[in-house]
Amino acid sequence: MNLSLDHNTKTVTGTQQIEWINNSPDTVYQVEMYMYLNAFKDEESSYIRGSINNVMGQDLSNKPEEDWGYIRLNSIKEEGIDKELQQRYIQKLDNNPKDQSVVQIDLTNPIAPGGSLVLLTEFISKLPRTIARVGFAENDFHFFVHWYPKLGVYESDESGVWGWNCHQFLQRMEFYGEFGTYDMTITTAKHMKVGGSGCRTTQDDNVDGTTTYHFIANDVIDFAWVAYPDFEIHTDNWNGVDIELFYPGHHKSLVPRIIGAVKNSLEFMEVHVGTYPYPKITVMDPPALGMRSGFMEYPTFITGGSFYGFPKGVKSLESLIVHEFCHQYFMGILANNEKEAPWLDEGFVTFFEDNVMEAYYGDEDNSLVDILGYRISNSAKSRDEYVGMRNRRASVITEKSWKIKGDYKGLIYAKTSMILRSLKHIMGDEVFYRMMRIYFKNNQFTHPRKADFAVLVKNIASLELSKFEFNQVLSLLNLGLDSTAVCDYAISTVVSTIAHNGSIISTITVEQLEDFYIPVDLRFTFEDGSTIDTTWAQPTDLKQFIISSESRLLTAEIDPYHKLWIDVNLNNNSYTIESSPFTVFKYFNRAVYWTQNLMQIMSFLM
Amino acid sequence: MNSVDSLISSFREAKKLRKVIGLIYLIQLGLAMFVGIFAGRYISKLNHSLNQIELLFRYDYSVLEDLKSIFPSDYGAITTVALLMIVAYMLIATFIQSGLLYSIYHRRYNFNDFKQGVKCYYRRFIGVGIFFWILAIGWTLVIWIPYMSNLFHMVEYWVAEYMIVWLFAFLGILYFIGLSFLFAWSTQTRYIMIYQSHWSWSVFKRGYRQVIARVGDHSKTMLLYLLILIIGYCIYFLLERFIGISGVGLVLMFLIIQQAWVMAKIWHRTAVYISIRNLQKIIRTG
Repeated sequence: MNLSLDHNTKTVTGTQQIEWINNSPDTVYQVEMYMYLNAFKDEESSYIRGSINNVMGQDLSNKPEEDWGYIRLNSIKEEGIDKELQQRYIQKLDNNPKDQSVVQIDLTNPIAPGGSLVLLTEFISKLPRTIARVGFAENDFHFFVHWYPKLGVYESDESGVWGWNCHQFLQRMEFYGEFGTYDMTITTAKHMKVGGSGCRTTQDDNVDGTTTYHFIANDVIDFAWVAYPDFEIHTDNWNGVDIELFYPGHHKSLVPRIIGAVKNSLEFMEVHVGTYPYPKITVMDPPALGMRSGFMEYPTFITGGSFYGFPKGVKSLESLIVHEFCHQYFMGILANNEKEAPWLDEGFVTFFEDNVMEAYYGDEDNSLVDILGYRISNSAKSRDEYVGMRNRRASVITEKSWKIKGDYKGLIYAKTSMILRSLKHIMGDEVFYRMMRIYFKNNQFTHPRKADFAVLVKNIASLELSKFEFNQVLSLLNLGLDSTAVCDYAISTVVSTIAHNGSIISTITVEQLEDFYIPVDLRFTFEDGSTIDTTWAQPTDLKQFIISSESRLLTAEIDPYHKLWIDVNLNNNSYTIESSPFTVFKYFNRAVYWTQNLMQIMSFLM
Repeated sequence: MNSVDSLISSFREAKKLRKVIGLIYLIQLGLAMFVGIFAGRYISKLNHSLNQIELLFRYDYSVLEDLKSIFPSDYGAITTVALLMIVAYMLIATFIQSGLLYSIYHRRYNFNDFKQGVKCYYRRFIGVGIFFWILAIGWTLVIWIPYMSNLFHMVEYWVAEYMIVWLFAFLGILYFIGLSFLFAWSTQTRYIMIYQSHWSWSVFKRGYRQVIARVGDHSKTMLLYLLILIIGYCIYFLLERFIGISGVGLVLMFLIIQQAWVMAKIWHRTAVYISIRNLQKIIRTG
């Protein structure tokens, strides 16, 4: 693409040459392209209609004309044929005739299997004021995502039928694209600092006061970029991977934290998943005025979100960078279809975010927050997002993004992460991460689907785990991925009586209070220090374990190794006859103390 | 006498009011114990869970969040009771202030004098309290409403983002200066009321003049008062951060630390009332 940015009108005019190879067994007569910037053209687009007049807290009512954006395909021709191709907007998902987020092009010459197509386009993209990351903000901040005519993916669906996978732009949809090489030439005013996907290979000042940047990005599914005059640039390197950070000058003190998070993520993902295959990762830490463009991932390019004076004890800054970086592996290199199977991306990323944070920023106690004695780990927060869902049964996690009901983040990010965490604890770190490395190696640059993961898990589990653990894995996959079942095991009662022969008979009642039946471990500990480990291999609603022993039963635990992170109440997983009144006393004191403090503060004028 | 010396001598004088200070502490403790009972009952819902023991040794986010999600109404009850107890104490505080300031003003530290002050002034002091609370709410709105309502606009349009943070800090300081001024003004107003022995609207004006006439001394006193409070809270948080309330012995140790600090703050505020009285006395006699 050859692009020219006019920062006064917030428009990019461009020419584009697209080369596409037909790897399908079909002859292709039409192509479909994303024109997602048209989602922000007016209030009639399916994206805005679905937003109830509010996009991420941004009120869209009375939006001035200049704050809307659009993309227009001024010309599209096949190479060597001087004839405009027929184009029409299509709306396969919701039949909204006003939606212009996907365009269908009739080809003059159908493309036979193995054949190739070269399209030449001329387009203009007008940025909206920042909405859903894309757009312009004050002080000539420009962020380009969903900004150019982009081919969909021609592929077979799960039933084996080939066609264009090119969905309209609806709420919650992110990326799905074909791998390719992006060769970009971007001309902007000289004062702009420009960063983006891939590598910036050259930067030439022109006689007309502009600068032309050349970017190359290989084997990526998209290209995003930023232009802003007040960026500082920090460069670094980790094991041959260049790291380039664009940040506003007043965030200088945060640079080591951001770079550290990138390096930690690179190291963890290389060891546990696979080698980062690109030569560079670019990070953009937006100024506050560009904050709406932050918190996101693009191929080889991620955006953070921080502000001046961000407190050190709150590690959400690092957690965000880690999260967005981990997307490189799932959205970027595996390139799952985020629209149809968002769990394969966001859920996996949240799982690895939790693990990176716990590996480098504390333990299972304080990896996210450690301030004034209050400690929260990243995984505990993720778990809480699932456990705290108002309705945990609203949808299954494998649902298509636009059909998901209820709390999207709790379901897609957190529940998936808890399923993976449970898998890791059942399989053990060594087996689990070996499986992840195989999953990554076998599927990189291929768009894997649920079956690619689930079949691999089952295969590895059948080879490496005991029958009991294998059944745990099967239940986890079947109920976790394909049902809305909720897991809540409980030790309901423990009753001990003395038998005629003097031995102690303990009756332990164990229940599954919901409907997620997964084999579980149990442990009974006695006063003399001895333990009995057993299992409930085929759980039903309720079971009683009756144990005869010489020593008094002290504790009964279900899932004593804390494998089942999907259990929504961990407090009822154990029972001890030696409860400590001091915990109650501790919180009694705490409540008394803080109430006294509040009384003193609030009465200062009385 | 400089402000530090004045505060030290006020602390000494406040010792003479130890019975009243003890009474205030007991009232606060008694009311707060209701909240404590609700919190204790809530935690006891962990029943025989091993997590109850876990919670004794460390702050565990998941244990508390699971408890909240299973017993949301019990959690809500704690905040409701806390709110009720705080409001109840604010009303009781009016009685306490009337007796306390009466004793301080007349330098009569007998418990009967405290009771005499309560009897004579509590009704009038309710009016004064409400007046200054309305002013405090107004001040809160004046300072924070423009900032909060423009926050999104500032974030999106201000190039110098650090200005937003510094403006917040500046407004925070200004806010506390305003509240400190109200505290001093309210105290001086009550002293004037005790001095006049009758109610009139002019007490507010005279109280205001008292503060303005020696605004520097009042500022120093209030600044010292705030500094001691801030240092005390910092020490407490550092202790809790680095020692932690983890284990039976530490629960008991922190119980003593917490209650000592609560008691110290009552003594400390009494000393500040004495310091403010001393400033008032000088201007009156002078």
